[in-house]
Amino acid sequence: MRIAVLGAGAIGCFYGGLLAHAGEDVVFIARGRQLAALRAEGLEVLRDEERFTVRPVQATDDPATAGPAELVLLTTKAYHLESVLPALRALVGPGTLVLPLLNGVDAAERVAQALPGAQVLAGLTYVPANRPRPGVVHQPGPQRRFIFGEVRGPVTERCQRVLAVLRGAGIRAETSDVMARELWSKLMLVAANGGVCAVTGSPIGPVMTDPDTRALYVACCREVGAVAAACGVALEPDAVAHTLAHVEVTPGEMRPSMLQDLEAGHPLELEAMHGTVVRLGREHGVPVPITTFIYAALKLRAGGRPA
Amino acid sequence: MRIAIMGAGGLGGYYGAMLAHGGESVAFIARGEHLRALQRDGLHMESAHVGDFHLPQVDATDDPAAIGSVDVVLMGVKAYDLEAASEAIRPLLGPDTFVVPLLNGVDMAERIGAVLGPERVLGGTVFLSCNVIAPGRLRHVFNGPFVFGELAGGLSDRAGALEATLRAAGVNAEQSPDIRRDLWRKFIMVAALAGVSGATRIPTRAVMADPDTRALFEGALREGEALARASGVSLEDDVVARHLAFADGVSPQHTVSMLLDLRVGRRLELDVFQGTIVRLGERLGVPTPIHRVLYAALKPHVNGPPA
Repeated sequence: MRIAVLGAGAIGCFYGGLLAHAGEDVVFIARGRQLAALRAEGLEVLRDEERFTVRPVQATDDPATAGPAELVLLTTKAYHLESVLPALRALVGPGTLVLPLLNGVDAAERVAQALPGAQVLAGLTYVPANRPRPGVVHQPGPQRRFIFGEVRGPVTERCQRVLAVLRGAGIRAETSDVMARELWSKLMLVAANGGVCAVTGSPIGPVMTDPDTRALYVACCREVGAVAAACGVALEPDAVAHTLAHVEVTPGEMRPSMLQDLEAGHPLELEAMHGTVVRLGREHGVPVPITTFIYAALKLRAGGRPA
Repeated sequence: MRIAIMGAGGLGGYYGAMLAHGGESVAFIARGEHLRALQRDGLHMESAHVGDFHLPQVDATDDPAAIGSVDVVLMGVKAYDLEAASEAIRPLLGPDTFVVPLLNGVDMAERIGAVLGPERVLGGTVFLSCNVIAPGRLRHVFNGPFVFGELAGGLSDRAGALEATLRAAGVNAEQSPDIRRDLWRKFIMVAALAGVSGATRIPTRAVMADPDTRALFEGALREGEALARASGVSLEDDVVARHLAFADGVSPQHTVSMLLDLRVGRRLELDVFQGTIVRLGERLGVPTPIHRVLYAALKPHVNGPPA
């Protein structure tokens, strides 16, 4: 399958690397040092149980030369979505499927609005990955869930085609008939993890041990669940308990990317996460005081420090 | 008048220096490097308001018992040292000795009174800024008044005598007939700004400029106002508007000590502000959700940066 990876960060390089390694026809849209490294050295993928290098790698900063693709994996940060739309347009032809893996609940809608007529799926992943240096991606621990499907309604044949390609590359992919629920469930987890750890400046362990910060965490989860319900998305009745159970088995020293980004002075995915919950809460008359607080507390640092 | 300064930091040092400079009999109780500098080289004051001066010889010790009884003790220690410091000054008490706190907070006089007897204390609050810039050296930067008075209200001879002594020494001092109102009026402002500026990590002017952080600040002020009224304190109807106007008018450099303490990893006065508000709110049945989240957000830093 001809696959374009738009957003050659850790997530894009991990999945794109697995697909290329399995023989799929993968092109990475990249820039700067990442592009130079991919072209010169190829892409090195480091995992606990394996490491491999894809070389040569198809990589370009000119999406017009790369499209149209059959599948575009959209793996930028949420706050870069608007700025990559021109590149996305260049990659999309009549038969192209676009699969966004961005944080937040509305990436697919935003893509569909910007590219009328495009075939857009919804997706997300729980995999942790980082980029120790240009051209290298590290994925620690076991592979986590990669869930995708139609934006609304049950899985279709086009989803099954993508699933076969992903599974063929060893990706732990699954489809879902209720992607809105999957996206909101993930938002509950990452909004509480990222928001509470970032405002407290603390890794997850102490946050969950102290009763005051734990109360903040639980309240944030509940607010996300209440807004999801108001938006017509019924989460599992035990979604909050499920999120808490997930956190209980997370290593205490885990620092969510929002905390790492804050400390490094990088931009935050605040609008896609807490900004969206606050806005939708207001629209639907659902009070979200804790999320509003997190949003306000981080807002003026969400743009990152000027270089 | 014979006056002891318990905790000769910035504020205690300032009032002790002014009184000694004016010819009163002053004993300083200090510790560490600062004490050694006071004993060796006296006290240096830099002030654009009262002029620079040097007191070559000051009476400074770390042992209150060496001082004997005094007329007044000005309490300048940090709130978390207050009970221990109150115990330590027992040797200074004659039959009519009274104590006036210089600390932030609404219940400092009550806490001293709980150790030494309520008849021993006046309420006090300081609108002046003076810092220890090096051992034995003070810099006086803002010359607001020292306001004090009887906790039961009304004017008294002993408070009048202190007012006369301070004024004769050139200090901006004022006996208040309603010190609890003065304490609360200042407290709700300082607590709200410390909490919001601390949790957002941005200085006062930036808090005021963004509508979301400004709303957080205003909400925190309103919670403080409700708590003051529930405590039987008769604040002005427009107290919140006045505080907003004050915060709008501060200099661009204005940075509350909570934020300075966070930046350098010092212990926080969180219990004096958010801790007190949350506890009092629970006791009086006044909801304080904003101060509660500010408390939780800052709690991991209360004893310095989290691991």
